[in-house]
Amino acid sequence: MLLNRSSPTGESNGQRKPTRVPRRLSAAGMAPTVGTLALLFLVGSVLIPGFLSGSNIVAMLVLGSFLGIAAAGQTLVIVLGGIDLSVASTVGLGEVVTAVLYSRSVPLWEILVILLLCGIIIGILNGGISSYFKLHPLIVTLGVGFIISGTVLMWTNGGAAQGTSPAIFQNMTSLSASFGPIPLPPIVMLWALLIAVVVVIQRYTMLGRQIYSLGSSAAAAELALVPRVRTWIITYVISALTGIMAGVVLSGFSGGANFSAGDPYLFNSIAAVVVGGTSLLGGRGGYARTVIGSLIVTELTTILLGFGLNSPLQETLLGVFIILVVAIGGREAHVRSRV
Amino acid sequence: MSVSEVAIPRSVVKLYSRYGYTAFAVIAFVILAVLNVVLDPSLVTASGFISTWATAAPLVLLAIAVTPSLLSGNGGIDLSLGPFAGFCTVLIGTFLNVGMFGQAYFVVPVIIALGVVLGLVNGALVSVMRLQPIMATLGTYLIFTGLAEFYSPGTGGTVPAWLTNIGASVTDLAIVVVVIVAWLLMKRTNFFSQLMAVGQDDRAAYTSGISVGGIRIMAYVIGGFIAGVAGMAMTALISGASSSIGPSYTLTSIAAAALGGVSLAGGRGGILGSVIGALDIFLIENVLTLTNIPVFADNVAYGLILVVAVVVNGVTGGQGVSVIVNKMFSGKKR
Repeated sequence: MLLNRSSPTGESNGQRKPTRVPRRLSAAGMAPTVGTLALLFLVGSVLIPGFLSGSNIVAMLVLGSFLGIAAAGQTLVIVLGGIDLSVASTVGLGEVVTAVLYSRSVPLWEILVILLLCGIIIGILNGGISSYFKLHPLIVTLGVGFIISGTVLMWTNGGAAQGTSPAIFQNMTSLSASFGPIPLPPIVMLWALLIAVVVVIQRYTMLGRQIYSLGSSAAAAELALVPRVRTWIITYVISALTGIMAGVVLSGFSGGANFSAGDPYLFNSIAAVVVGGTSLLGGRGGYARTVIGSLIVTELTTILLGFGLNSPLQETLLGVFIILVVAIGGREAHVRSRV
Repeated sequence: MSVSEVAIPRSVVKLYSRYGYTAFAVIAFVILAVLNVVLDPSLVTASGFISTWATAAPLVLLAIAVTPSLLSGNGGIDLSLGPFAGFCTVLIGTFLNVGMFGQAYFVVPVIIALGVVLGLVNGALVSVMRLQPIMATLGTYLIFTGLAEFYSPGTGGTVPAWLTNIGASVTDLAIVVVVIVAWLLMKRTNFFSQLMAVGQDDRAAYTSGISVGGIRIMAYVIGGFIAGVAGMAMTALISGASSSIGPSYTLTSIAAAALGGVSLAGGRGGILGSVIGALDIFLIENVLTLTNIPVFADNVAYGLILVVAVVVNGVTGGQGVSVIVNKMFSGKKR
């Protein structure tokens, strides 16, 4: 009964014992995804003129940064055994609040504090409700996402309130900008910093170990006194904050307040995580893989764009490729091997 | 021992044990329905009733369509059905509208067959290729979103008259009723109990000799079949082709199922719950329209009722309010 009660969703059944042994995927396990990334790069550079040009590579890195930042929290949440469908809304929230408040001459630091508080509230709602009541996080985050998007649209009167992003974010994401001596826009450096922070969190901190242990076996983790609800809340706060962060920098790239700019990040962030090879079942994978996954997804989009296809066909082919890439790296075990 | 135990008729207890999972959605439905009728008394007149309720048909049908895959467990979910229904509107509005190709005896089988093929593809990706359902059906979601935009006539297209006449009429309601009755009949078959067994614990089901893969494929096929019907209902309702309408239904239909008490972990719930959940969402929309609240408030209302519904369903262990009622009436027994 104790084992039964401690499942994160509370919806497993009494007979099930935690049999899966938690193991960290080895670096060698990343070979297929890195191979896919390299193969796509090769295909792009052979078939598409200008693919290898500096400006195209910078553009891919910038677009990859937005996705990579938004997918950082998503990775931790998925390793924890959850999923976050409110990402589209947090990205949109970050973008709209930054642009609209800035054009109402609110100081930048105040905007960032407001967004920080929003992120903490969203994370507490998402993680707290899913873990305390042991509900499926997919539907909880979907509901919270609806609430965020409705609130923001009501606040801006359906997008009628316009705004411009602060110059600092515009310069940060400008394709021609450089970071000191490094010829890359500062946004790429920001992503690199975030990668370092997230990898350190997941490898060397107590929080990281708690996330992996809850993801591998919530029952065993709780017996080892891992604070389940607290860990879920912290992880979802991180996810809300990285979503908002992606939205803030995205406002610099697009220049204005457009809530629907966040929409693609809902499924793309999950795709980046899964394509990278992190299991949706939780407990295995990590952000280094998602970094590769974000680059693969961005590369795919760029290649399809480079073929000069119109956008509907790009979308169709992206669907085909996502299925193929997941089939290479993200298959599940047969039920017979789980008995 | 307690008086009330005798007082509750057996049939009521049986009803609760069978449909208790959706009790919250039913209560919300009653409140919302009363609110709607108070705001707009024409809803209960014969013509107003049919024209209003029939506009809910596509959402109700899609909420039914996503249910079997959710019930099949192990992360089972079908994101592709909304875009597929949208693709059907484009297909009919662009191609299936002239001469023989526009006749009901041609359109209906073709759309249904496409739905079944989609279900087979989704099912095969999930069961044979063993991809995560959310990723596999996201792939087919993108494929159909793209195809719908590609073939979209841009101007709305032409829809055969027989289909336009169905929209917002009693025929449309009849289709929903037929689908529900068909499902209730299917509930009596072995397939249904096996589906629930697979959804609750696929390993136990596998060791008892149930073809887990086959059952899962079948769940997606039924979903695709009903999504085809939903696509035709959608075409009838908007009397035209729209490439953008489909994707917006995906998350709403899954929200409707969850609101109606269908567990996303599988094995618990049923389509009556999804139908009532979909009607709840439709009624919220209607109330907000009637009271002239800005349309953006819709999302806040969906989100709030969805979160409250899953919390109530979850706290009471998936038995809806029946647990609370039992506790109230049977003293120490539980």
